[in-house]
Amino acid sequence: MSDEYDPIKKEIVISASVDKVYSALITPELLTQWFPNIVTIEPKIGGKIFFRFLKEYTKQDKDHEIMGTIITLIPNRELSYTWNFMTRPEYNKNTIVTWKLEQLTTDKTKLTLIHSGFTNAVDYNMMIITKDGVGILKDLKILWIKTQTQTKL
Amino acid sequence: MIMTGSVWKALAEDNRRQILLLLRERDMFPSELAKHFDTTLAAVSTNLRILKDADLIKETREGQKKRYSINPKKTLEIKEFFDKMWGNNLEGLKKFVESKEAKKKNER
Repeated sequence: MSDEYDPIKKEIVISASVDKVYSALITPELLTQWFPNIVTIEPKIGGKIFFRFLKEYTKQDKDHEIMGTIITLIPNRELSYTWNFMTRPEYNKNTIVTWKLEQLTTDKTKLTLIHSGFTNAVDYNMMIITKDGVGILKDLKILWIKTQTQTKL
Repeated sequence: MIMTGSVWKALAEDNRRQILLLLRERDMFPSELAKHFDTTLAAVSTNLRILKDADLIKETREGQKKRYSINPKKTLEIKEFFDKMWGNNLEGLKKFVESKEAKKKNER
């Protein structure tokens, strides 16, 4: 059943101003220097994000892709987006990644990461496996609507 | 967690995905599951074995019968994967931002 697990929460203090840290989270050219290898991001609420992690860097057997939508965007304070692992069909859909920034001093920032929305009700129904990878199973519209409803509850 | 071949194989079949969907609603015995399919009970059992081998479902013995449920351990593994991933990446972010700052200070 859809019991939600406790979110993942991590805190780190970075010796840099809050705007520098925020830039590293939202600017594609900066994101690619510490996180995914290819980034597309529409920096607005409702904007889409796309991350690609290349197998040459992750040492995995294939590239991995993440798609999401920005939920919160308060410059230098908070950024959150949905996180969908397109290349891992058994992972929860629409988990939520939230970054919270707090200025401690002019060159010290506390950064908190919260990743929530892990349930044991894995959304296999949305996924179809093809020879080329994973896609959304379009003919299961009813199940899709059901999943959406459950997400809202 | 690394995506293993058995998970792909297990999910690559309509009836098996349907079984996961049904088990998501509640735990069931093979005979209950078979009512939802045109196939034989043996075919359902084969699919259950494949799903179990992929660690996607759990089997609990109740006397002569076996009850099946979604394996919550899988979600915990997924959480562990992200926990490790974020730990590494936050360190990477800290190093990146701080080295950029240090470079700027040296340039001054």
